[in-house]
Amino acid sequence: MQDEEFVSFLRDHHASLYRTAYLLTGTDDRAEELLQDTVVRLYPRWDRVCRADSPAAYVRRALINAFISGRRRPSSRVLPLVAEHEQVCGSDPFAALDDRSALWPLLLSLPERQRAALVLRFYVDLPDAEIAASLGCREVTVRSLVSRGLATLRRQQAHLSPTRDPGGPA
Amino acid sequence: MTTTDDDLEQRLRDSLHAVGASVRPPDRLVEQLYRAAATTPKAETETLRADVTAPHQLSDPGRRARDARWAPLLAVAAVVAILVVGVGVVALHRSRTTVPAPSSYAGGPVPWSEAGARATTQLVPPTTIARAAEGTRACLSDDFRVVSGSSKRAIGPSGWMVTTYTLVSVTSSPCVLGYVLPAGLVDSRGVSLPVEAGSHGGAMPRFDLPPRVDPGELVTGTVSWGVVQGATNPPADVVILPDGYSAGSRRRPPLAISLSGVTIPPNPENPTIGGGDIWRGAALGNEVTVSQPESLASLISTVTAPDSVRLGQVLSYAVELRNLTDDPVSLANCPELIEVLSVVPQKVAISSGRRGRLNCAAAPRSISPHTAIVFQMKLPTIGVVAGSGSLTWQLVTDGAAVVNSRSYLTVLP
Repeated sequence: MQDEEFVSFLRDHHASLYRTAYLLTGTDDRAEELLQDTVVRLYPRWDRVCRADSPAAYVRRALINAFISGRRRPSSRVLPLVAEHEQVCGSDPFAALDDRSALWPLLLSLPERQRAALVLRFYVDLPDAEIAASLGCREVTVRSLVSRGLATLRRQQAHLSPTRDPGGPA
Repeated sequence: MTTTDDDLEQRLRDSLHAVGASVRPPDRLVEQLYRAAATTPKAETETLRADVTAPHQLSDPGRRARDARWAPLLAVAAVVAILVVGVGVVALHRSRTTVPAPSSYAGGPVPWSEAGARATTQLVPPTTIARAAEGTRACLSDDFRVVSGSSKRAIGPSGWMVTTYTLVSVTSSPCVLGYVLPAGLVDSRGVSLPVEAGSHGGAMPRFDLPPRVDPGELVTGTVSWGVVQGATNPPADVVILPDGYSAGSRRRPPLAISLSGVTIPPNPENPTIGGGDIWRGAALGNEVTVSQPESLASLISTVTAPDSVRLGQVLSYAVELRNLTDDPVSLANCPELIEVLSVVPQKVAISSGRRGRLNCAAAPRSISPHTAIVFQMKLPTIGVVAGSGSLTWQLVTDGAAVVNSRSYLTVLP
């Protein structure tokens, strides 16, 4: 019975969880690994997941925790901003900034908790209280993480494209 | 020009959703995840589980442990991949119906939305088939081309097989299918196999009206077969409109749908000796619609539901809408749908269902040619009883079902 519920849950939610994992990690391989690590660890106590008010939110919280934890491991790879940006956007980063999808590679250079906070706020559309629960922190910390993450993105944009400096004239 | 906070936030939101929409999970990810979870030693998962809810107390399992866990999974995945590729190659080689599979919508499955849904147990009748004009000639097999066709086992008292097909009219003048849509079975040598009368009436079902098919229109049909194994050669093809075809002529009928990969059940009356010296077939039911390209009715739907659901739980299933034609099909008016779960404990069906609309906010405005979109669906099982039943899914326009799919399942107590 547990297996049926487990598979049924995966059928319903694997795509959204995978997308969240991808936005957090930046590659298919790491998204797959993160999602697999998460569900493998939850499987032995799936009954507890099912009893949660929102099993999907429970698993997503575990995914975020696994991401933050995993990124702290020594084997974690630091994503170089320029390399990722060039890989995704081509050889002209300034032109690519006109493309809205170009912001995501910049996001990958942020610290894990800031990145997670931004993904949960702007992709999953969670309120601060739920983001705080997912990250295991207070709401004021969430607002700080989001604020610092946005500030970093703004600075990186300015660095790559001086003409779009948010603080200065066009 | 300055970049405001709101502007940056909106661009970040757009960027994340654009990237998210372009991400497609790997094929068979659910199977892979389940296999990984089920095959990972419990002790290892218990060692690691603390970091799920308490990341700050994480104990690093180490690279070696990670690699050790992946090794058997990779081995299993490799074996599965080899089997899948092998079966696929064999199936491709043996396939006698060469229909390209539609590509999936890049945005992934469309999630379920309950907005506007209301309870109902009433299905609506299928689209009325137009009566043919006087003097319209009878359709021949050469008037059509197979767009898609497949057969599969269905849960039934005698192990039914269901064949679904879509034909497109390739002729230049209207024709009428007639009151009876002939369909038959042939073996690999092209020999016709006997089709007996079913318990529901004659050997072949009759239409209430003789449907006329205009040039370019689609004919979509479903035949439920009561087919059991026999001692002679097994059926290789289902043949629609086998006119002008002589048994054993070794010429493959033009409207043949391969049965490759379909397991025919044994004779339930006597499994040990099969059905005697012949294959037994009986066409038990038939639903046919005639539709125009670009219309909703031209879509082919497939319901993928679990074999069973426990009473009281929410039934989660998926509906794939396939556009096998060369024309896009608009979803701009956000079509209405009906989903009904029925169980027949004795004579009267006990049903529970809902009427709502597709989640158009999350779906594209049209289904491109040769593309499929999967809609995730949910239906509470409150209101039915335990037992064998069926799930019917309809897409409704002007009070008639233009798309109709059914899946059989068991409601567990």
